[in-house]
Amino acid sequence: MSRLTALLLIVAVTAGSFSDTARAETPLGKWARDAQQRVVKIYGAGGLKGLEAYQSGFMVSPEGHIATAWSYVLDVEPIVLLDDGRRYESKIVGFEPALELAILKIEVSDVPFFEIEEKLSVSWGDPIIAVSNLFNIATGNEPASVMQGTVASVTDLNARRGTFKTPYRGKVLILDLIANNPGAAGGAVIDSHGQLVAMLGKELRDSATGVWLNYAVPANALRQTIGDIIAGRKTTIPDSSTPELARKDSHNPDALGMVMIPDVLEVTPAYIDNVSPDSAAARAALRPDDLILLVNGQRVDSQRTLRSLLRTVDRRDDVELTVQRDTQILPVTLQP
Amino acid sequence: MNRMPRLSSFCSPVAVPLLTIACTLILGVRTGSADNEYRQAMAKAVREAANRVLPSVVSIEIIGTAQATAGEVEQDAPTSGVVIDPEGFLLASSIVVQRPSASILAVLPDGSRHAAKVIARDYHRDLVILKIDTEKELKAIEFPATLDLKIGKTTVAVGRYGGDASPIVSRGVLSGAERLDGVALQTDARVSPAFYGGPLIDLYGQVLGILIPAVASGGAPDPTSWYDSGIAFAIPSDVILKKIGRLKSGNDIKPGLIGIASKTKDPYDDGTEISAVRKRSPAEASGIKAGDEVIEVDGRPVRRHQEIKQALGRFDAGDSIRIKLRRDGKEIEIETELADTIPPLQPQRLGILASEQPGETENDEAQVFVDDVVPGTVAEGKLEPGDRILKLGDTDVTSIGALRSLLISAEPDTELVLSLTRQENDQTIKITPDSISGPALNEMPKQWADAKPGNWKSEEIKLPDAGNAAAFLAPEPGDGDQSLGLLVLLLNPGQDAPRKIVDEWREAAMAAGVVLCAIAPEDARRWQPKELNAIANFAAAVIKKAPINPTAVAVAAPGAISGIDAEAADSMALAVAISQSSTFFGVSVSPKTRSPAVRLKENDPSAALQFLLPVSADQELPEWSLAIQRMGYPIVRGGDTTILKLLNWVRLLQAI
Repeated sequence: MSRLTALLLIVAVTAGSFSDTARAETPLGKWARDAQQRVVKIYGAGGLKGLEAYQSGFMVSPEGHIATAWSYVLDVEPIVLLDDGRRYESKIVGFEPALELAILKIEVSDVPFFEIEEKLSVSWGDPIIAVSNLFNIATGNEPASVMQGTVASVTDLNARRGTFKTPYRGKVLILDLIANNPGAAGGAVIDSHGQLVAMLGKELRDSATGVWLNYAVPANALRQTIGDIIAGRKTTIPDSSTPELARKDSHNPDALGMVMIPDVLEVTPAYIDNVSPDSAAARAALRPDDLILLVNGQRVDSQRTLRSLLRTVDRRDDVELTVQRDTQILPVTLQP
Repeated sequence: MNRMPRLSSFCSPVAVPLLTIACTLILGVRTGSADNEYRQAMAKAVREAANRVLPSVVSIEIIGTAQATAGEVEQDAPTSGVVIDPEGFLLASSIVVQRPSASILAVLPDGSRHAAKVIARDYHRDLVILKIDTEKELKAIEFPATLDLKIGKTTVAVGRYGGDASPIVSRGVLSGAERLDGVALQTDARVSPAFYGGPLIDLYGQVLGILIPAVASGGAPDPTSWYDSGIAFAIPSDVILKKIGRLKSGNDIKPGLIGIASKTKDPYDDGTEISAVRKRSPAEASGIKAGDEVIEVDGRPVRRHQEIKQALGRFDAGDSIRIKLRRDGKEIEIETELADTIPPLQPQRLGILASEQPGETENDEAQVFVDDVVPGTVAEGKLEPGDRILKLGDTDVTSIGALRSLLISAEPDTELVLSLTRQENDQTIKITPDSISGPALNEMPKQWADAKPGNWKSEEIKLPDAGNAAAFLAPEPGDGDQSLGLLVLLLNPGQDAPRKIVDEWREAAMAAGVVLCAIAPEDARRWQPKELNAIANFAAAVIKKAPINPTAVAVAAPGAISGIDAEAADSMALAVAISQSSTFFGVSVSPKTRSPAVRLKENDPSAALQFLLPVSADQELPEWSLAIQRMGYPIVRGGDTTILKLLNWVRLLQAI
């Protein structure tokens, strides 16, 4: 064999083996990187009793709107770290308790974001990748973790009893992938074309079987609400332009018949301790242990907020409440 | 894809290297879509395969069962099942009948619910046949009679899940066949409880088997413990096809038992000699004798007792199998019909301490000698130290283990003929052994009673992978007796330091010749199942530190002593003894002990376990002792049990 032929053969063999490797490589690499750039790390409240103070989220607008799971992490205004390590204080601009969804906003422009399609593009059996900051493995400018798997099932979540509960009642994707670990909530699930298909849920046991669930809420179920919040049609931020009325002209919890739990913390949750007989609260069938989430569409993060929000409502007007009772989210109208 | 040939023809060896590199780059770019095509094709193939069986897959719901559970999985977890016949017969995992329930419902693919009744249960394969009455058209699943079980082939677990009984799938590969003693296939698909009872199929929609909750022997306390782990099991279709007729006609299936004991203590050791044959067992009925060597089980050659177990594992009670044996140098073949039960062992004892010496030449079998006689036993006055035991009945006695097995499986109140050599004279004596069950022995053999204990000291002991505080008390190396006993004492949560306890027991331990190892729970509030194994590891570590007879090893809790109440350590000691039965030959706890959640295995003549309870009469025995006795474990009554009495019993565990 001439030296030239031998050389050429070697080149050919080497090239051949590389192309085999390349053939084995998945295109997920590209989608994964795109998705990582849209996924953020969120740091907030927690750290007590083994509760992690972090979770995941993803961009849903070029102006810095971030979709994430509504959880205790958001009990304080959270810090958001972008894929490139930039760090922002965020504002909670909206949340929908029934979807376990919250929208944060940071002051940026022209960031990459996910568009949300009207229809669910995957069914059971389809390949997906999940991008989240599970276990807070990625810090600073480290990109979020990428995992691959498939959709095991598209079904109704049966999570009504037991210690872990969710008010979400729609379809969920069950993933054939151990995806739902601490910190993964709010992460993005994308299909094999790079399209966002779902948001990873919080850690949850299936109350029927007792075992841990790996599930995500389909993005199309969140689409309407995310759009409304971004467009400002549905915001839960207290409207500072509404003036407080004089104490005697406005509502307050006591007058409505809601005896709140003692306000001893800086942010005491707005739990009802007792309902006064023959009051507006009693007529609306409120119960002890109901947690007030919204007053006239505005978010109640503490009893203090509840009182100041009620101060903006004329005492002759109805008050629209959204309360959480056990795992149910209920709209309630208080008629004075 | 069709562009590939053209591209590769460009890349022929005659092309210049530059072109070759260009080709590689092009290939690299277009592989992305090829992979995507592959993934989409796989998703489509999985759905098509699953859709072939889904019309036959139902969801099974359990209504009205409230009992607590050992594992994470709820007792009434909804699982899956398959329609096996249009008349309404369904096959499901026996997890649905694990506890009594008010009702079992089958949810058909159209969402309709139907009450199901239990027709029969396969206890061997953890399956159950249910029947529903419905006018609806049911589509039966097909079980192929032959399976292509290439390890590594794609498998899909199929079930129904959620409020709307939606299809659920998990893809994996076939990991193994003939698992769980030849009974199950293994797959790495993530099988969560919803899949139990559902089919495991291949990409062509062929049913490979039905998924069951199971763990490997000794793997975990609860069969559901390995959910979602990538280790899942299914009963193969060809086997189901053979059994289904019997089940549909309402006959339960149970595993087949034969009734032989192994000569080797460790089933993985070479050799298939049988040390004892159980009374009224299929083995006895078909003429298998102690001393026979097994060569083949149903045509499969076997070399170790583990392989015999593996080969027998697939057979049910009522199955007839052929076994090839070697007896006196000749091969014989027998046929035996396996049974679902064998009358429980009633372990017997002569009351001797024995020792073993190697044969005179390498080819000679070992010789068994009487070292001492325990006062108050049937051996007293009949056997003497120095006697060499040649035969028990027709069986040559060639090891202590074999002699022990023969006595453990001996018939109560039945005279045995012992052939022995005493002072160079061969003779035979007739002797009726005594049951081990009953009052504890009171006196120690002479050689132990006369021995001086030497110098004993206590020391703390740590094991690399266990967080328990532990201490042991043992003679200094080279000091004192051989053939000591070992008691592993489990402390109650919150109890004193182990070192202090062993020091408090020092005097009795030295008097009895029993090495003591006290272990505190890792968590100061409770004992945990994961510690079962650690306790056996502590025992193994201490056995290396002193001349302990490995058959005189027991585990106990403080409640073993009269007047001390049962606590968590008592339940733990029971669980340890049952689950680590190859390490422990005795267990002693309070009669008020709450029975732990471990599966009770039958007593094994080659590693027999006995129980000591501080009671004087049978009426004081706890309820769980009945189950223990039914499984062939002897219960020794300690009467007013002191520390010394407990320790004497431990050391006497080595008596045969």
